[in-house]
Amino acid sequence: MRKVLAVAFNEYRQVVLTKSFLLSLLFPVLIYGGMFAASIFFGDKTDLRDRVCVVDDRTGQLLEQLVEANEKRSRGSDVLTDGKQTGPRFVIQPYEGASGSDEKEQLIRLSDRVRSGEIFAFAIIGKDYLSLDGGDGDFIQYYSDSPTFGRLPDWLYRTVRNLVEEKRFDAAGYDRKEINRITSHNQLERLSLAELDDSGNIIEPQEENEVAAFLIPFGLVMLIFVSIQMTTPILLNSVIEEKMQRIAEVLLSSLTPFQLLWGKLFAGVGVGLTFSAVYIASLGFSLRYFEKLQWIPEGTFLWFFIFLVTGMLAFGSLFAGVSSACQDLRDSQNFAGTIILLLVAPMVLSIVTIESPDGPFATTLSMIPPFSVMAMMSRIAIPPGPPEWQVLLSLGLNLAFTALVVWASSRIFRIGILAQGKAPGWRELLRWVFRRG
Amino acid sequence: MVELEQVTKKFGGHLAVDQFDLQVPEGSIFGFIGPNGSGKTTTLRMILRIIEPDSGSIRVFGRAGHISANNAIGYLPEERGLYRKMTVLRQLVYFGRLKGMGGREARQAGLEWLERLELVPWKDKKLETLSKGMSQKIQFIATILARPRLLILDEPFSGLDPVNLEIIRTILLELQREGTTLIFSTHDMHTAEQLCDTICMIYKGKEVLDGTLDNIQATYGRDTLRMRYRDRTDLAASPLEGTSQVRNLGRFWEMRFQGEPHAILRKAVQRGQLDHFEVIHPSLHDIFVRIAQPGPEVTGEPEVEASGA
Repeated sequence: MRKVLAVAFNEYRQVVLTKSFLLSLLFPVLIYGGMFAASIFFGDKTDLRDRVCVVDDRTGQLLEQLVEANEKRSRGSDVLTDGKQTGPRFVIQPYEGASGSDEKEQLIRLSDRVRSGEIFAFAIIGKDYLSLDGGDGDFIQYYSDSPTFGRLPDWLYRTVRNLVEEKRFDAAGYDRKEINRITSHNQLERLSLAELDDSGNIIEPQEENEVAAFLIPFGLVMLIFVSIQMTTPILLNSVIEEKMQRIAEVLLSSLTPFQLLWGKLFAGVGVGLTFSAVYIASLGFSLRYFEKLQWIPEGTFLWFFIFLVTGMLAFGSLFAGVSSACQDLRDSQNFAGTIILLLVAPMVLSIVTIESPDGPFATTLSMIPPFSVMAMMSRIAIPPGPPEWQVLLSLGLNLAFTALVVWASSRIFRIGILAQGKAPGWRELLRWVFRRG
Repeated sequence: MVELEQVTKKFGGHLAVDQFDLQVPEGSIFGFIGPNGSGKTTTLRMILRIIEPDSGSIRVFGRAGHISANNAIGYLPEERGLYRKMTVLRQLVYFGRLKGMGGREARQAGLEWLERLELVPWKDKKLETLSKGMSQKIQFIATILARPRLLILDEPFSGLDPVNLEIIRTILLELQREGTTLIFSTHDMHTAEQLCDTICMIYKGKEVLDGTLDNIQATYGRDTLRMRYRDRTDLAASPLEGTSQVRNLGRFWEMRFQGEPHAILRKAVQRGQLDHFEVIHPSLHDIFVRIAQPGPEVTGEPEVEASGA
């Protein structure tokens, strides 16, 4: 075991001390760290500049109420929190030129004012916008060179639409307030199921976030994919290097091929765990900071690491086994392509399993190694998660598959690591598995 | 120390080692010679348990052995192998740990050997920045770092300049005095003659020679002549009667003979200004060539073989 650990430690060190690996670890720290820093230092320093918008109201009936609505907004929670300004104010200015005389010239002039920074945007409300029958002037247009700033056009459209509806109701003789009362309703709330805690008290159902419900399982599946994807080629390269540089023979005079393979697998698993642990810790810390830890079902992270280890062992040993039979990196590409396909397929299919985690497809896929690693992970990460017996069965099947692959790979490895000449095909590798002696 | 009994190894249809017997006495310097493809490396790998024999038994240190015995065996393969991107000292510590040493112990031993071989300034350099000769010495240190009881060296001197060759040779003799058994696998017959107490030759997977150099040479008898002419007498163009396999070694002519040497001496004197005439045992090189490349026996028709050596 000491020798296995010596190999593992040496290989682990060789990988984690490289610049590229350290940079890959820094990535989440920079992203999440940047988010915290931004929220702490710039949380109350959002861009509070006034947004001046010139409005050409060609109906002649909306501008006054629009200005009033804006003044009301300026006193409301969109702009103020506890008396302190936290959002930008809008300034609605009437268009003072000759409306509709020369539209092209009007557009150029106003656009130039936006470009010069004098105003933020301008809007034109067509003359027929109030009309029920429509017409050439039935439009509302908003012009700006800040397409990502959505608050002003959203507010403008919402407010004008309300004003128009109000005027149409009045014109038709309906009581606007009464209609509002009759048709008012609250939005649909999406909640998790109710549960009882150990003392028999009801645990409040949590509000569900549709985006998080997709992104978290998908993110975990991606993290498994990336962890395996970045770990296993390292094993491939290290085995090829030892063959090409004739180090393998020196190593095998000190330890068995089986010990060498396990040392490499431990190193690979260690690298993958280090990588994923940094990402998981960053994710957990961020969710906790933003008080959204409830988005992750209990035990998800533990299952993540358990399934990740089985996946890394299976794929790692497969890579090490076949690369031992190759003479150089080019030889190994033929094998690597097929193995990577086994890795990519469940990652792509996870979109289906996430959409319907308890459907027959997801359930079946989560029982078939090596696809089950990602399929089951995506199911676990979606509340309420699969039944416990399914998780355990999937894990058991995965462990059995991993043991089989590691055994077969070690059989290939013991022959391949000393083999010279043309790289064998899959059929020859299979023969190596069952060759005696 | 090492005993092989009726060891056979096949690779597919190829018989690499065929019912091979070998006995390496403890504390000896044992020469293991044979032409390329004769089964030397396969035999060494079987001794190291890198590969298993199909039949027969192998005992190392008196045990039918497991690879754990390899902690006491140092192996320097012919095709040297070190990590190009790893620093020298780290590399030594790693190989030391694979031989069962503790990290600190391996580091200490590594530094001592680096000092002895004047490589300390390169201890933190990556191997790829070192010259070939330096890399050879690093590999040699990695082999002897754990003070092995048995040292298996495959062409240990190839690629070394005379100064470094002498340093390595001195260290090897020191190790032998301290009790280490050395097995040399080599093509360099001169080195084998100089260093080895006992020699075994393998050819086409079978043992064809085994014993001390004196015993082996005695088996072949004194059938070789060595002559030197002051003038440019050419024995190759017209060999002396009763001689065969005439070789020009530069300063000397060497040939096999049959019959009475005095009769040949008389004829040799008639050919030119003869300075040196000696009846000798065949060299190990000759014996090696005779076995690996058997020529026709000596007849009335002499045979000529040129050599630039």
